[in-house]
Amino acid sequence: MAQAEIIVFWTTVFLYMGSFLLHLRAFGHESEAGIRKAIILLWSGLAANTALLGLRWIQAGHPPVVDPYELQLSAVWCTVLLFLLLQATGMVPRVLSLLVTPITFLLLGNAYASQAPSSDMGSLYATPWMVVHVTFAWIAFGNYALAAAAGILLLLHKNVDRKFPNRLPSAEKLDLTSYRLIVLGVVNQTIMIASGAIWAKRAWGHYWSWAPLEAWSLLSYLLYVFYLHVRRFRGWKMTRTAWIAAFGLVILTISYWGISWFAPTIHPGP
Amino acid sequence: MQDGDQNPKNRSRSSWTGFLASTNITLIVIGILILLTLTGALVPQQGMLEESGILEWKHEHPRATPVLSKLGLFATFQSAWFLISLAVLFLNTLACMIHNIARDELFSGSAASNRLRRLGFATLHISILVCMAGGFCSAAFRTSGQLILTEGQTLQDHRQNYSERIEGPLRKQQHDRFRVHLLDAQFDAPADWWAGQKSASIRLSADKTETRTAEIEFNLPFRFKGITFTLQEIGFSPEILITPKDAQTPPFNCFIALKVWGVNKEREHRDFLTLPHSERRLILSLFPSHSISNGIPVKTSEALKNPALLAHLESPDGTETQKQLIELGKRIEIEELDIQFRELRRWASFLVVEDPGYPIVCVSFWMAIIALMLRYSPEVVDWIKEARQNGAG
Repeated sequence: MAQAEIIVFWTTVFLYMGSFLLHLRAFGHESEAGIRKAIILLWSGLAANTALLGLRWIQAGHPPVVDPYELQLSAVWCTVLLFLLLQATGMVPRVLSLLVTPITFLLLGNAYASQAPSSDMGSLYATPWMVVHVTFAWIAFGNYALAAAAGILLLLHKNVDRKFPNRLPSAEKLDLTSYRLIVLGVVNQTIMIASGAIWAKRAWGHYWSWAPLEAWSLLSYLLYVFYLHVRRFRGWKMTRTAWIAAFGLVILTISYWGISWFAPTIHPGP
Repeated sequence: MQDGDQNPKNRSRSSWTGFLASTNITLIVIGILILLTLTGALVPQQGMLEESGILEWKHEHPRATPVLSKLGLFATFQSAWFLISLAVLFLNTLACMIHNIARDELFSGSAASNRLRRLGFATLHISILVCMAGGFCSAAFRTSGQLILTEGQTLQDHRQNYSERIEGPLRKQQHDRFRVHLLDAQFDAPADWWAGQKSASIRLSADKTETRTAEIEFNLPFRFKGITFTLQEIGFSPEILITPKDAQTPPFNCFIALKVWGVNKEREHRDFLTLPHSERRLILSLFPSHSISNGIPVKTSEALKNPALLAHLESPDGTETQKQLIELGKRIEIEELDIQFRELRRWASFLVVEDPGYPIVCVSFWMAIIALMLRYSPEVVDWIKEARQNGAG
């Protein structure tokens, strides 16, 4: 990492961490002003994250989507941006920030551990399908990460509500938010898988080869399809679906960054 | 799977479609597919990993291996379990569609958003059927093979010319559909980076009447008579003339398509040639550009500037001769052999695929995306409306 990149990386981490701590404090004291400040700090963190991606882009000469370090920075950026936009429109509760920011710490920590000098993009990426595939992959990840955050908050709802009454949205609202985010995630993941298949056909001659990453991607997709079906037809709601949403994030994290733990893959990135 | 049926217990089970369309079956099959996919993702799969890697895994997991082997889970996605699950899912989805149409459920309801949902639901499930049909066509009728050509070489679409070839079980044998001639191959690696920019010019002909010339780049396959030519890799083919010193053994001349190895994101070009009338092997490594550092040749870049071969002989017992450098157009002597590096060309490998299922799968993708928009856009609109009413936070 270049000196400037290191400075901006740690600025991003501290801003996100500051936002988390401020939000936690404001949550404890039921301070609306404190929550607003935490959200402003999160916007600042996002600005630093954007600058970090910009620096990497300039240094590498291509969008930061090639190696695991760049992919995780992009994932954090997309998740935080999505959260900030959705909370600004009132579509998701602001309290989700308390779980979104820890998810970003984990990703940033893993990004820091997997950093490598920027490399050339290679001809594999010289296609518009890359833009479609990667963009929708991040949006889907952001949706599912927020859905998992809502799910985990729902699982903690009783305990938190006992200690801090009336600070959290109702369990029903968290459940509905998680469901709606998963719906958005499924739509975006469908586009991601379809564009990835078209790209693979052009680059490798086959649209689906059951490579480990494809298997994990299908696994997470089936899990969310299962979620939608049990919710609709079996009436599963609240804690049961919240567990699926939380577990889905684990599977998704493996499919995005953990494939190399299990098997080699031709897919770039993980 | 039955949209619009909130209480499946009250559902009529009089017809076979009613039974097959059961959401119980849907959930069980999705559950089984999740378990099988998880197995396929965790257990090394044949065709995805080198055989040695699978053997190593089996050695490390002696207890699980017999069970997994018996269940065919080292090829999970080709196993009977997986194929039966997909077949049941197909029947379940089909039955669900028929059942709902027969019950006139799909387009009932007065609200426009409700009709939109139902239209989306129907299209989504049709897209799943189309996708599975496309996948079946690909698996059954697909042919895929790898052709490796050196510049100036012509090959026919004949089984023996492919380095590997896979054919679907229901595909009729077809031969000699085209002749392909490699005009030239280019590889531009600006920073010794593994992938680089690859392109190749080929001339294709068929039936002695139709001839086309194409420039194929990586990511930009070329279609000719329904067959897709995808550029895979480009490497070097040095021409070697081996002349034994004893006059009785005839000289031996050939192009060797050196394999490309990725080592630390750099390309290495090396291979071996089993010598005729001998059990020894000639090991060759090529440097497209080189310099001599402390008497040792070092590769300087991937650009073709001053190519040289590093050659040595290896006996069956593992003993090796000293490595010697041969520059292009020069000759060296290794023991009783005179080895000349006569010419350097490039080779290109192409994946030659005919896949009747791909267009069907593509159609299903578009259908699924449109269907999901129709199915869920009313819910997203409701979500936005609700957020506006409640205000931020």
